[in-house]
Amino acid sequence: MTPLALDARDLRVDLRTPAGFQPLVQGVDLALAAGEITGLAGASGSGKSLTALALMGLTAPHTFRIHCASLQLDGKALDPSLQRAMRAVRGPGIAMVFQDPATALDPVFTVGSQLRRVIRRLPGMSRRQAAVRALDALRAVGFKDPALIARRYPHELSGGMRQLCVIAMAHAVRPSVLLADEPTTALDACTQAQVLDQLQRLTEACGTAVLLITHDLRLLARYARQVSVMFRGRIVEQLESSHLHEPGRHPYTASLIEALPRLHGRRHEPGRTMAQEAPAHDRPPGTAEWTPATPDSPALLSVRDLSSGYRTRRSGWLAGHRLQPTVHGVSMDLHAGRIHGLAGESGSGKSTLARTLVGLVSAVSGSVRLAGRELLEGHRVQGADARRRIQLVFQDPAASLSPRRTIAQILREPARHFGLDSSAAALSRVLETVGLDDAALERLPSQFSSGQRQRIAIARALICEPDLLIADEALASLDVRVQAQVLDVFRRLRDQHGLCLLLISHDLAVLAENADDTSVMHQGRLVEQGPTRRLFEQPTHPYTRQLLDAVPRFEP
Amino acid sequence: MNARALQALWGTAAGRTGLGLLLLLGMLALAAASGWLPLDGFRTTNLQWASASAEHWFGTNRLGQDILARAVGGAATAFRVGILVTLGAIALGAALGAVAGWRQGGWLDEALQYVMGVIDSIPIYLLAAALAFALGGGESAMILAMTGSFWVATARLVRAEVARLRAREFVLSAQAIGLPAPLIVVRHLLPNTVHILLVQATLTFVAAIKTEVILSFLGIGLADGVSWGLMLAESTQDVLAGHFGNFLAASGFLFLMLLGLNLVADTLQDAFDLQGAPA
Amino acid sequence: MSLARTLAQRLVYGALLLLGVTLLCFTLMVQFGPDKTYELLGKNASAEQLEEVRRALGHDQPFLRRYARWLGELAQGDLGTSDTNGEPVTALLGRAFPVTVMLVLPGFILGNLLGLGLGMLAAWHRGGAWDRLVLGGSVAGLSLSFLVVIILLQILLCTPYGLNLFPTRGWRVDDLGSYLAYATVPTLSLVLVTLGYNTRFYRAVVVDELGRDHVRTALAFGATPSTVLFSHVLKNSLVPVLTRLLYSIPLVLVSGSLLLETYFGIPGVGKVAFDAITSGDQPVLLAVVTLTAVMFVVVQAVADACCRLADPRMQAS
Repeated sequence: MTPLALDARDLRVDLRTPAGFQPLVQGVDLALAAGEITGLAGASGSGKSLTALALMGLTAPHTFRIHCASLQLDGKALDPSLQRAMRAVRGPGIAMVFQDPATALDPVFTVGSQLRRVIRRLPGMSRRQAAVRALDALRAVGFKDPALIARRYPHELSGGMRQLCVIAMAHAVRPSVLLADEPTTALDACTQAQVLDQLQRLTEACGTAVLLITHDLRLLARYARQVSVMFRGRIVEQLESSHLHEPGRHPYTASLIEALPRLHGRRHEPGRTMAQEAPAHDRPPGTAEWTPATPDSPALLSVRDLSSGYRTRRSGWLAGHRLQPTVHGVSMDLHAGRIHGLAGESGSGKSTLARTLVGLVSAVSGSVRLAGRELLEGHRVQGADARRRIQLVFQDPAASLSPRRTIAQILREPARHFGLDSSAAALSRVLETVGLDDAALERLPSQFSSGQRQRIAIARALICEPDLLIADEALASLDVRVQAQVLDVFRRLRDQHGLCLLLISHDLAVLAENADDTSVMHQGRLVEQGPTRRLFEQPTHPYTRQLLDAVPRFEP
Repeated sequence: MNARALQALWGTAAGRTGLGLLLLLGMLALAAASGWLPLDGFRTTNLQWASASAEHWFGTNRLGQDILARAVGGAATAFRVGILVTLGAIALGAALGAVAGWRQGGWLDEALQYVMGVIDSIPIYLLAAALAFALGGGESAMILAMTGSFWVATARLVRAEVARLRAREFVLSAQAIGLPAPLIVVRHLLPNTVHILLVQATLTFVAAIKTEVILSFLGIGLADGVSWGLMLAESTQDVLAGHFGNFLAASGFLFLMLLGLNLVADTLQDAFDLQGAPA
Repeated sequence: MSLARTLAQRLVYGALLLLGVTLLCFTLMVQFGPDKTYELLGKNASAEQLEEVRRALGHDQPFLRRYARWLGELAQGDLGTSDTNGEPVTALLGRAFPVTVMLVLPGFILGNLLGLGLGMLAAWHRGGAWDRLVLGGSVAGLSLSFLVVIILLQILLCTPYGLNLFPTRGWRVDDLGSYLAYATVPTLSLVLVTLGYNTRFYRAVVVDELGRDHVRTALAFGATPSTVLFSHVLKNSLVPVLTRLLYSIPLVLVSGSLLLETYFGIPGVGKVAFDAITSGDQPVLLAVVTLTAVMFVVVQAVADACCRLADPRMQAS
């Protein structure tokens, strides 16, 4: 049995409110073994981050109350509610990596000077020793030219590199315990693996105990030995990660695992058969004529050689506009009754393509035809008909609904604008389609969870009676279980309403499970497209292969 | 009015105190102006520089006028000027700020920013003086000068907020269905600046009252009538002679009124979490 | 963007701003303002005399030509002569400006330093007793009128009803002792009346910076409160702080000094401006407005340069 670097018993965090204390984290026991990664999983809002901040003694003292029956760091007792005591152990004793690499480092100091400052706090460190150690640490996390990186300001480095620099800080200080709070959530799949590998190397090289906090069980299955699953402020199950696949898990853990999208071995087949077998009167109104499409039937939307991008404006007075295309020569056909997947890293031009199709971004050249009719007028998708028939659902459910308008107002606006049925009955019908009821109508967006808000955003698109629904990373900010619910809605729209969906996602596993066809986008170009199964089983383009290799596996 | 704002104002001690002070002063000013209270600040008696008594709580001034009555009259002036300036400046600031924010980076925005830059470069006292020249002085010139200068602060904040929100996805989705821009601004953007407008309204009110007092003191504001600024101007001579009635009454009322407004502003800023944002 | 381009832009923008400010004030004062020829000649001037004076002064010309002539003189550094005593305005302002700087500079610096200290204290203990105390105090401070503060301090410090330590008004400064005697009460007034605003501003900036992720990272790797406050927070907040400091300079020098100098009878820019207001001295008023606008243009350029130096992210672009 390896010695425990950190042993916390019965950790509680309460929010101070005028009405009294509101428990947010209760009875959490955590044991972190030296030299290995321990996982802490759970949905957002389950109290994972708060647990970590409390262990660091970094929660705002006037906002939260912390209590811990016993906290031992390297066998020494500590009280996380004592500011002074915690300040003394932070750094060499316990340190933390945060989620957002964009803001994790101080923008006005070079990486090197931030590293040296941290090292100088260690006992007996001279200026010269600190400088050497800083470079060693940068080399340790895989930088080929540490001296160059040390001279850089954070904004001159990519997100992954910045996160590696924070891990380099850990290498330099060699803490007994490192808490890593969703350290790779904001990164691309390829970078993610790189950063986590370095975290693993840290445990091996320095004997650090790492607590890896993530919503992604797939990562824990690969990197962690022990996993704790958190739900509503409590730990509901602690288990060896190798046991994650076995049956008999706590129902919550089981539901998290069930909801995980998988690259292989499971597919939600298109419900063609289901729709065909359904009796005519069961079909939703307006879809009676619909017959399932095959890839051979004429395309609903046909994009040819489309290039588009944002107008960048040079700042200042008398400056001209310049159009910088981010999408280059894209051609694709989308068919009714099918889900088309669009994969690619962030910045590959997926969102720009989506926004071009709904007229938010100007095209430079090419054509966009909807059921044979050209939509581009003067470089933009124009016309009320096109604006109604193509609907876009955005990524961020927090920002996609007008905050001061009720759901009824939000849904009624597009319906009235297009002269469609905006009666109460129509509103409740569309809400029902996305699995919400009438009670939602008089409430404000802030009163809903992000999954519910995303479904309302889908309802707002559906009330326009579109032919094509584009979901631009609409699942990215949702927890896996909520994600599964929304995907369910998408599949139902395809199967029962014959809708054409363009599902944009960086998560290939989601596409593998749900998309009928998939296109892969890289640096503004489509590099490969075809039926999903063929594409994922026999990828031809090296970039597709690279993307597939980076997907964390969760297969026994 | 905003539910969160009302809740904060009633729900906190600071908010209640602030509102209470304003209501009290407002009712006092109204009662005196409508003649319900026997307070006439213009009636002269031959009791000059009388000290405080049951009849004259703050004594009388050099013309034998009741100082309390004049202080209450000053409250009416402060409310009148404050409300007019605030309404004008907030309406102008919201409208022009929203236009500039929506057209951020365009020529209209640049033009409006230029105008704001010009106004910001003219000190309020000099603008008031210039307008007083042009309009022949008096209360209307003062109110116009303040409105013409105070809207800029609100406009800048509204502009920034509208520019920030217009990249938000709820605005994009309104644009995607082809909703006309004025409708998007009025329906989706301006309602989201209400918190800024409420806070700015109280801050503008404060600035208006402070400026009125100083302008009247300097003789470029209210020339006749009653004003705390005029009382303070009188008091500068009085205090050297040991008569503190004018000073105590005017500064006391002024402080209570500003305190009330600032408490309200503070509570609103807390409620909307604007405390962190540098003004 | 290249430096030359930026400079050119600043210059053009500065010129435009100057043009806008002066045109607005010229219109208000000269076009719509009272005709000063009557005052010059007294009440019983004949029509011919009036015409003659107007022609001599150039007042018979159309408005735009008069404005253009004024601009032309301005370009040569000639701000005209005072209507009241015929003194060149440049000489008048040249004499007044140093007095104003001497008067407001200590208060300006002290007010900001005190505000910074209190703001840091409050921000570090956000939500705690210190924070509530400082915020409560600043609300009271915001509710003080400049005028009230001045009169109160005068009663307390300069009259027999208080401590009677300093002269009530005036400015006969020839050594440090007399400087302290005349400048102390105005300085204290300035500090007291700006402290509420300054404290709130600095607290907001520091709270903002303390909430950033990189501060949490620094703390998580063992940084001490002083490292965080004096190194991370201060250097990061340089841009908003410098911007505010610089932009408040013209306002303090002109608006701030107006009341102080008028009240205490100190012959600085504010007093010059006030006298010009009361006597309707248009050339002097126009000169003060122009001076303020020029200060704003300079301040803008300096602020721009400082922000570029302070923030490495802006150097790159």
